[in-house]
Amino acid sequence: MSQQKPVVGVSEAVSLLFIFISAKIFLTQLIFSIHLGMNATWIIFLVLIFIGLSGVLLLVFLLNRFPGRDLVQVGEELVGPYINALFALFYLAVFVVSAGATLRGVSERMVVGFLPDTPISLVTFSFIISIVVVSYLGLETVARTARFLASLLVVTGLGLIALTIPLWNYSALFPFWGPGIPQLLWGALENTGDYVQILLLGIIYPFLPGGNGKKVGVMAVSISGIVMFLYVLAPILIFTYPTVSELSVPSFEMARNIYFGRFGQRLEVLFLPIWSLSNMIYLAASFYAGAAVLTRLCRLDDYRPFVLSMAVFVTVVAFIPQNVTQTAYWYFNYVTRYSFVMLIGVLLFLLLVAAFKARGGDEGV
Amino acid sequence: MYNAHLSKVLRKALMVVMTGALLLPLAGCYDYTEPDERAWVMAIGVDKGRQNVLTVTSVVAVPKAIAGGGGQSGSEGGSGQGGFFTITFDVPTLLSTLELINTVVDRRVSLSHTKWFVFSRELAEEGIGAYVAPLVRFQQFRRSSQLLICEGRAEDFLTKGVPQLEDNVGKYYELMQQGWRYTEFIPFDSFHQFYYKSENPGVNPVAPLAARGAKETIYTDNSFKPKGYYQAGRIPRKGGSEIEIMGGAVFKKDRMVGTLNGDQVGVQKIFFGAMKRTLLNVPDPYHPDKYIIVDVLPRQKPRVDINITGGRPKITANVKLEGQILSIQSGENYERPDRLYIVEDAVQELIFEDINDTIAKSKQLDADFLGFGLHAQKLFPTWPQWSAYNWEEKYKDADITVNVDYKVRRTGLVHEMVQLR
Repeated sequence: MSQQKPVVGVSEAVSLLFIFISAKIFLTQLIFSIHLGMNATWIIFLVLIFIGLSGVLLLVFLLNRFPGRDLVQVGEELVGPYINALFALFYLAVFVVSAGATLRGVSERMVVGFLPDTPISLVTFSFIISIVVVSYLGLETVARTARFLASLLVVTGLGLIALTIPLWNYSALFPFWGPGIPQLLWGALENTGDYVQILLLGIIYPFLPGGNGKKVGVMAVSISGIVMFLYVLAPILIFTYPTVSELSVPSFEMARNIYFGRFGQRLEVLFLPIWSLSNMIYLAASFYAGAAVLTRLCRLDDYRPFVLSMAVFVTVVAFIPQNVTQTAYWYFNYVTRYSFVMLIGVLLFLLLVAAFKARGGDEGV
Repeated sequence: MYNAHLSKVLRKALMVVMTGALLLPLAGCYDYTEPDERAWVMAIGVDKGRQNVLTVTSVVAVPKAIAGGGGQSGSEGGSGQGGFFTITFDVPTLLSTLELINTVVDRRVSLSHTKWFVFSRELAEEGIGAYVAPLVRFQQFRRSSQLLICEGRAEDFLTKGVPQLEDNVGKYYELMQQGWRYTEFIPFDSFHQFYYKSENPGVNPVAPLAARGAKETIYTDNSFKPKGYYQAGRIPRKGGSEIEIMGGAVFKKDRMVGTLNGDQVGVQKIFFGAMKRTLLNVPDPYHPDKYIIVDVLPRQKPRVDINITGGRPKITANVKLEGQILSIQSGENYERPDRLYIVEDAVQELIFEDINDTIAKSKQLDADFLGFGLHAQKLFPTWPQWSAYNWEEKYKDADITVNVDYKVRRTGLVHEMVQLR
């Protein structure tokens, strides 16, 4: 794609994909699932782990039939450039829209929570600059940054949850089934888009050590699932339903609520990295992935010019919504609700075509 | 060759420029502020307004006085009010004060260190939801702060509430708030607990009750009154700080519906596992004019079992406590293993009475501030079924049985006391 083929190790890929999937828990999007699942939203996130794993297995099953190729190349080989262009635009839309909503969401969060006097344009610009630098330097840089910061994020993230244990009310788990089992299953279906980010695996697949795609996908989805589950469960236990459904960013309120006497309080600044760094890695990966899709779509060799294009696309999308509420609602309505189902539809279609053409029978998993 | 070199140089130059651009906003040019250019509001008091909808009193810390700077005694610094000054505005909404203060105070005012939000009882009885709800959205507000209800005007309460031991009024408020750890008479709920309990159908919130100390004699006889009989504004005392916190204000939705005395708050804390330790004056069974003094601490969180038969809740609460004998005024030898049960039974009876008295109060107020509803919701598989049951309506018909089990574990520094001759 660029002059040199990047090399991404298993732990780097797992870290990247894990952060890419789970960064959204630090934004408002999470709240919509609580509206659906009430105090039992954690069950939705347990169900979603299995849905995410199914998606990964399907993706890997397809990609393993075409070693050394990414999802865009596989699509082109199977359905030709024209139909595949539609699929590629769908992948691009997922990356751009999600990144736009995330950029807006995280910038708004910084303004509301930490920098109330700073114009959002400056906050956004700061994010964009750093993200462009990282993604311009390529997949290896993005993945290594993710690997480098993953430990910090996991330790800080789990530390945040551990410090809130004294605030947990276990009665908040009841009524156990929340809105009821059918509504929970419906809630899981409505939130499948939480795992549409497995799409990144389809883009970076050729750069992973041979035969490790499945391992990377399964590990990343499992770790993300557990982290998202914890970050849904903890606010429910702390704030209880229905209060938890009011919060714009539950993890932020969790951090602000930590109180261990006069000196053990006001700790949210300690946890600032989990909000900013996780979303910066998410955005850097989105920029790279979007640029990579555009590169394939245009049949070019170098992704780098498209990183700047992605910066423009994402910034434009970020500022289309008039306010932060609209951003969150649009993300839920267009990405969280439908994107995963559409991705699965594309994958199944490609698999059907592959089967029809009887391609790659000997190379299957 | 030359082009490649130029490209490398340009790339490096671009990286330097981009990194520099990245560093620029880190200095926080917009949100830059010096601590000595801020005025920190430590407490806010809200009363019914005289010239507008609300009268809002802000307690602003005087850092110079807190630090004891300039050789002054800290508590006499600033305005001479214990490291703070108060400022009162009549305003249409609570947050309007924040902007108005800056017409008077030179430093930019911030609520990010505010420890107390004090509402007058008069306002609380009308409902404080409209004033509390905007706070939770406000970036400077913290749910770990404390909401108090005060007898009389919050304005007077805060203005006169000068700390005696502290120069730092913020520390004073915070330590007063943490008093719930050392006395059973102060509710443990911070704003966080108060707020979520206000929205949860299975429990009603209790806010600490505060008041200025009474100047006149309150009780005209010297008959025995349990120490938890008192509540803020009715504690017979002389000296100490002008303000006191004891007892609780019970809320239904956003309205205050009644008060609890110290003992009733203690019982509420037992049921939420928040009671740490209390001293109990137990009438001596064999010497009616004497008392056995024991300390009481929870052995485990109370077990609450609820059955619903015919739509009516039947609640059984098992309270397990333990403690040590601190004093036996009569000198009666209760410490022997075969006689300890006498003390245990007497303690159990007293706590049983306290709990039943508190339950009666909760039924009288028709407010489940003991949180039985939080146990009842376990019986319902789904939230719609729980909502449909309408616990708030059913609670007053609940049949509640209480079992208390107290065990004496220690007898203090005395093994067996010798009778006086």
